[in-house]
Amino acid sequence: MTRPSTPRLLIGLGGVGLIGVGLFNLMSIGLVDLLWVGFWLGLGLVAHDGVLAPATAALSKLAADRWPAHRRRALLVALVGIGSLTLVALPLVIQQGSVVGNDTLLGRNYLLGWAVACLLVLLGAAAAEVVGRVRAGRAKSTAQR
Amino acid sequence: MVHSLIPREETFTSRGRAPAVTSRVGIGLGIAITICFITGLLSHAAQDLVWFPWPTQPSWGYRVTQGAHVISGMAAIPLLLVKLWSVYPRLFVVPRVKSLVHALERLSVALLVSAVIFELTIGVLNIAKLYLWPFDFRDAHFAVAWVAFGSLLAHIAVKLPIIRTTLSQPLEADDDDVPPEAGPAVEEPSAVAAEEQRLPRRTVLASAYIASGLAALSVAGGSIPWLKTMAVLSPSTGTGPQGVPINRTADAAGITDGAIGPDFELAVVSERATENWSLDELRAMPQHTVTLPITCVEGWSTNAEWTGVRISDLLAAVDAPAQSRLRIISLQTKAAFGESVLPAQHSADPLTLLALRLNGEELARDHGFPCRLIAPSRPGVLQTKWVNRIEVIG
Repeated sequence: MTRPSTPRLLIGLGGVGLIGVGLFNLMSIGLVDLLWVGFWLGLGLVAHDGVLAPATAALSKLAADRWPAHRRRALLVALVGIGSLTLVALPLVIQQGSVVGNDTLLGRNYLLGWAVACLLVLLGAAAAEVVGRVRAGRAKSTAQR
Repeated sequence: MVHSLIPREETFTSRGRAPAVTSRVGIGLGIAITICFITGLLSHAAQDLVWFPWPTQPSWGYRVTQGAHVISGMAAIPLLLVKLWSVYPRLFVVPRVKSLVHALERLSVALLVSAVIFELTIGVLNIAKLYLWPFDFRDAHFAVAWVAFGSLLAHIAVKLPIIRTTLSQPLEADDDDVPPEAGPAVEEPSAVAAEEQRLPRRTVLASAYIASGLAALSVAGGSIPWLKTMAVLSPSTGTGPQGVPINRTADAAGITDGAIGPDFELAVVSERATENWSLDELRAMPQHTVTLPITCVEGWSTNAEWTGVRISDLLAAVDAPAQSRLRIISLQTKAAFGESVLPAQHSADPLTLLALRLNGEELARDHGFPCRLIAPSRPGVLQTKWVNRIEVIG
């Protein structure tokens, strides 16, 4: 086992030190709140590892089985884009118009915004796929000459 | 039975799930988290007046740092998801624990992942004002940020040799497909699976960075005016009465018509003197017009033209030095931030006003009528509205 370099050691120790600062700060928020923070820390991990990641794997398998292989790149770009946008948009869609008497806050039509953004992602992915296929076709015909 | 449902590391055969992808996505994620952490600390310094005197110049300073905080946080989300996707098979490595060092490494990764997911999740929920927890958002967000960034540094230190190796090899190189500890990937029998294996890693990488850019763009217009039309996920509409959005209305703050009626008076109190001014008397004082941004901690900001009395002029009237620390007290009876502390450097800055007018009109009730504080490079929650008392405290 090789000895870690000094910069690597310093980065690691610095990291451990910052974790210590964080834990120290957490000690000041009170026991009940601390337990809730712990619950939310675990919840995020479980939600990702136990729900989101397996669901993504299952969806990918389903798409891979049903989607033509040559279009899978566009599908991947579209799924990552739409999936990410959906996750960040969801709380805003839920809360749309929820601030009573103040339509300047959370007053956008987030559902429409999300839909338009997803449509643009789909169009972009499709356009990239078309361009890729045209380029591949040209390269193939050039090689044949 | 349950055991058979748990996949093994070898179950996942996609070429995208490789250290070559993890390292390259990790670079972007590391940069985004670093920006987020540093700007978060700066916001903490500006709000809680700790560590160093928060400067008044440039006047757009807080606008930039807090905009960068929210934009980088949003940009980190797709990068985190793709990075976690690329290492997901490692969760099922067998044996689960090989040694004490291996156990510690796995625990540190769990801490990193949970802390970063926590920070990004409650950050997004805070933007949407969706508080699903009983704890104080700011306290928890601040404390766990240290844990998240510290875990990131520790993780980088542990993984540095792998990062160096994978970055020195071409992205599509096959010899780094399988981590050294794992066995050879099991080929899936179907032709479809074989095709899937040929999916270029650069497509995975491009997907991550495109999605990251889109997520950033969806909120960036809240801070960057020329991107306003693309801010489909900004919490603010970008406009409102007198062209400026409102975070808290007069009704939400418990402001009554009587409190801001004709009998309204502003009191400025120092050790040597106390002065009271009616609204008409404030209007009769020398008026100054400044252009300053109002910046919400949720990331949106907008520039506006404010007109009113310099705070330093009010201090002179009660025989207090311009460089005085002040307590700014509001008429609000409900919700947080009913008062704020104005540091001495802000009190003395000629741009700091007790504003009476906004964009050429008398302040709207929801913008703080009859008068409000506006100071350069200061968080919006500290730009106290409906001010009726100013105390010199240092």
